[in-house]
Amino acid sequence: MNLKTREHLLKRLENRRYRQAFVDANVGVQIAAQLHALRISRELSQEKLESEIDMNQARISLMEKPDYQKYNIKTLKRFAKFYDVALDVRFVAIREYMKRLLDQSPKDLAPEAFEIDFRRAADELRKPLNQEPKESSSAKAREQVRHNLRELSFEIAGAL
Amino acid sequence: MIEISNQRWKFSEYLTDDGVGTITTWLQGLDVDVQARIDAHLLQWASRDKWTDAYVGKFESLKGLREIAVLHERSVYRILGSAISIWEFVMLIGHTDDLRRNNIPREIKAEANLRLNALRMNPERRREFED
Repeated sequence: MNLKTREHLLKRLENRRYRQAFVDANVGVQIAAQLHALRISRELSQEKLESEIDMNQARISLMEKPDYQKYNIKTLKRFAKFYDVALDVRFVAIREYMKRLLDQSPKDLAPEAFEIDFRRAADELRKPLNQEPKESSSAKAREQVRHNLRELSFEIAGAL
Repeated sequence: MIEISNQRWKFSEYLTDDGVGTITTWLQGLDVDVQARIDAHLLQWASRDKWTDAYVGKFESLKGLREIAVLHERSVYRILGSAISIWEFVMLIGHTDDLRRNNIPREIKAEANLRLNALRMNPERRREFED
């Protein structure tokens, strides 16, 4: 998503009705996307998950659809427990919410299970400084530009 | 665990002969609530690694075309498009199905196919989606 797109979206969020509908739709859309991504990342079919989590396959399928709106926290906690990840239900400011949404990648949708995540973090910590992967200067520059643009778009939105 | 990408999908829209964005025009004619819902869906699809056919409709009769459908109240808002390269989906035409017939009118399919062919002949007939 480019800077212009971000600006358009942030501008539209100034409309209260738009903002409320956007946030409302996103609850289901985001959960569905995560449930689907988590299952795929663990290489599970819906049928396999049905037996693992003891939940009807038709229900699993329904909950992976972006238009499904009837999630309950108890069921989501069951998924979190099975995938060994945290369920983070919280209220946030729209700007923070948008920032996370606009930068979200497929990897963010399917968090790793505790063991893998912690092992990776521990490996990173053990790595001597001189063994850190070297980024090319152009990649670093590109990342810096991207970061600056991202910050700028939120500054513009904040100033409007 | 399978390897998952950090890449996001980019959405483009088809341009008419006059250089007008077809999806932008279609969206502007819709209610604000619907616009918000469609934006939410597109934003989410942009961060999905795998677009499975169960969620993005794929019709055998529409060669190379796929559909993103957004349900809202009694209507289905359909965007027909095609992934012209890895990580880029070009939206060709938007269609509002007020009766939820669960099919796409023949003229919409025909127009989408025409636009897809025109796009294959001239990839310049698209621009990054901004709305």
